[in-house]
Amino acid sequence: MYSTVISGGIRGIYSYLVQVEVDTAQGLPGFEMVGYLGSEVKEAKERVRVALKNAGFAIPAERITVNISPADIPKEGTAYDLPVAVAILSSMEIVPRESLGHLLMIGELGLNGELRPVRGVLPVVRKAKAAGFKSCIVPKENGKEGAVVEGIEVYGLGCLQEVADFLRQYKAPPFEPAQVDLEKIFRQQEEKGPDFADIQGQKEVRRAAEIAAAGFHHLLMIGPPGSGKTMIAKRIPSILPPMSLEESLEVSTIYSVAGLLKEKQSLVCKRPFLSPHHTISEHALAGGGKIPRPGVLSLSHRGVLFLDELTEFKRTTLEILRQPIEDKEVQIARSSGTFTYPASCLIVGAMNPCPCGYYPDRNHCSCSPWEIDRYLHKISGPLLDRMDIVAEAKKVDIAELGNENDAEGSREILERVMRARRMQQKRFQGTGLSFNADMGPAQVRKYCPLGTQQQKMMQQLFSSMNLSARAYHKIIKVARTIADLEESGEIERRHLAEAACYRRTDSKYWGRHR
Amino acid sequence: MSGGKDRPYRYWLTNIRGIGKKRKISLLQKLGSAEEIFRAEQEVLQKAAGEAAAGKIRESKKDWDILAEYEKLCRQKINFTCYGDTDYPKRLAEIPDAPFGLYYQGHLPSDRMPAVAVIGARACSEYGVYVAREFGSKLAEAGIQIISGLAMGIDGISQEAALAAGGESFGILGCGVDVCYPKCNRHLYEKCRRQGGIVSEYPPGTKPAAALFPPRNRIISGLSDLVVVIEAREKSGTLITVDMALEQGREVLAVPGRITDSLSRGCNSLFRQGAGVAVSPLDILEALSGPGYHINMEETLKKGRENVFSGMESIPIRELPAQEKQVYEQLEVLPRTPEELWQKTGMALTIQEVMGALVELCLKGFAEARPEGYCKKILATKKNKGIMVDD
Repeated sequence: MYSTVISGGIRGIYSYLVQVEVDTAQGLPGFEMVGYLGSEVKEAKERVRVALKNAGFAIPAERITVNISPADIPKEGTAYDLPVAVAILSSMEIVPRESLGHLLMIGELGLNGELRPVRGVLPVVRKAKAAGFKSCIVPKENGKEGAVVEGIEVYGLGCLQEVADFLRQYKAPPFEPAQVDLEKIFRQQEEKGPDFADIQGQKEVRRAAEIAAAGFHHLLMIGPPGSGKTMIAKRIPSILPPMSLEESLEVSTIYSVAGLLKEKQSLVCKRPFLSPHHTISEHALAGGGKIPRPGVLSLSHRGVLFLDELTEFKRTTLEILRQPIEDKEVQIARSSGTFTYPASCLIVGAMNPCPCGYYPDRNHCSCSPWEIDRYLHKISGPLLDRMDIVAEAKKVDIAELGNENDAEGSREILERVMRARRMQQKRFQGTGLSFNADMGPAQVRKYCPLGTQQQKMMQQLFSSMNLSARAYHKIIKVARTIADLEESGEIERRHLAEAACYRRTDSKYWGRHR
Repeated sequence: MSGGKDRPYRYWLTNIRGIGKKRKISLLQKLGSAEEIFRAEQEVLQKAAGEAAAGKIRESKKDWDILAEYEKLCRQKINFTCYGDTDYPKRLAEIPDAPFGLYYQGHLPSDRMPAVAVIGARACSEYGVYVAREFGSKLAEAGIQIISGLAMGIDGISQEAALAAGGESFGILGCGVDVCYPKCNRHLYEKCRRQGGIVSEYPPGTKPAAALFPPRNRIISGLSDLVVVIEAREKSGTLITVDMALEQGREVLAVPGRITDSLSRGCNSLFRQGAGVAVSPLDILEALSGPGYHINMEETLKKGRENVFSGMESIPIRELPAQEKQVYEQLEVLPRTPEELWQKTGMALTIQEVMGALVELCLKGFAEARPEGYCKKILATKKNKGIMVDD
């Protein structure tokens, strides 16, 4: 008997439909699986056999052949256990074949027949919906994750027996589809994190963080140890605009593929904030493995990637950031193909200006100019050029520490950020862009027209600050965000001047000898 | 005794190892010229210099082709002068341990013009950078030759400023004159060669080594009339130069700093020992009028008072927009961060307004961005040669 079940496979963050075919025929009893299978997929054979037995289904003494098609794409993961088992049941005519028509299923099987959670449920369910399927069966733990996709019924089932019951009564299944309340999930994110009100002084860096959060501009903070760089970075999530559902789905898809979505957390709805230690490897940062999984860079998509002690990272690791910063995605080439993961994150770096950390305060710092150069040059020019905002954190005065708390809290800052966010949403409606930082040179010309005065100023800045073409555009983009924070339609001279000030900082350190 | 024909022989004489400077000089006096020494019979040499020295001279003749070696030197565009030659710097000849031979590119400091050594810490503060620039350019404008070690920090900065102001500056090296050390001062090295000179007592090709630097410090002070110290730590190379300068009878002036700064310790200990105080380049000019230079004090002082430390008050700051003017009024010659300036304006402006104003001021040439913050830009004044040379 021939039978077929539809399932889904993942490649990068994309999903494709997979047909699991089973044929049971007279002959020497045996169990064969084909279709370019990875070792964990081949092992499904044993899991399925024992799970079927323990769920109370006797496997006939026949020759069983399983093919997972398309047979030319390498398969990995344990999500094919359930479709293989169900296809066998169907070929044994234990479940009706008609029940499988508009249904897609994935899940790992335990030897006792229970369904165990798998990676990548979200992209598979989205694909199923796009392909016109009416319902999906997923492991119970993944139910909520799948239920996020609207317009398709997702059933989270606990064991193989339940799946059989479901299929036998497919016209009126004795189960309820999993439900999630998106509004409630989004409300949950408003839990209190650390607040900007805790930070004394540091006007300049606070302002820089505000602009970075409003326009998603990469931020580099330079300052002596203990000046509050890390504190500020940790508070940036509190002033980031909330994620839209579309963004949330993008992020959740990546987390789903990486197997990082928890049962309770059906959707990632808070912007990620990742702070990898500086010993991180290249593969962990960009993504890696024989069949690459997303790295930290992709896991902080639409969120913040905070690189504390930037100069302590391996240079090769840092240089990996270059291309993703520009393209907003990571491309990983392997013999099995090229994988693309989105990586549109806000990179926040923090570093000391010299080995001892106190330059240019010569009372504390006796580093030689040569040592300072060597230290600063751990950050390559091209990488530095990609930072939109470079801000200096200064040693905090005792007077400021003693001050009664008059610092602005995150709420006030967030209000301004939201204003800028709304300006940007209006500007980029229907273009696929979401933040000012996403603009390319063509869009800068289109959305950031400069008056004659302003153009003249940019020409002066270009020659006096020895800017690259990229830096030139970055100043305009940052100025656009500064103008957005004031809800100003035009980019004024003062906006450009402030934006330029954040770029001057890097030449103050790296261009000391110029 | 001019160099001329004898110079190739003197070059050979300089490079004989194992014979001291004193013996070389006495040989020159006894036999008249280096050529005579070269051609002298062994017995004559033995009588004049002793047996060991005569042996060394004979040895050195074997692998030294007089004309070829000197030609090689000339091809490298390296000049050579020797103790006793007419072009040997007079000031240097006076010191107790003057080098026998001196290699240079460009030219040597003129004996007719005053020369001042500006020395200090390599890892200097922003204050040091400012003072070194100020002294370098103002002294150069007054026609003074700036002598220093071409090192990073105070040395290089003062020389750079002197050259930028159109003056002459001389870099004294602890390696061969054809070796640029430190490498990052390449542009300064090249500029010195064109607009002054590079001087060393070590033969061309000598690599820099720690032991070679203290002896070169005596040449720095030896070539100068006066030594100015800007920022030095206690127990630093700068203070070694000062010790040598004092042995050579050079006047030493130091620029005061804050007593709390570790970079001021060296200068403050010099004051305790009786060093002169230089609070402005004018103090140097005043001190120089002692050793025979008639400095047109009246004119220099008048011009100096107008320019030195006065910044650029003459530029119409009245025409600046209100915010920029407000920020400009708080700027000083020492760098301040935007945040400090924001506090100084009484927090009447927002931090972003202060930052914007600073960039505008930089663009308009009123301010300058330094690692420590923003400071008032001091415009280079017109050439002001206020010194007359005593013939």
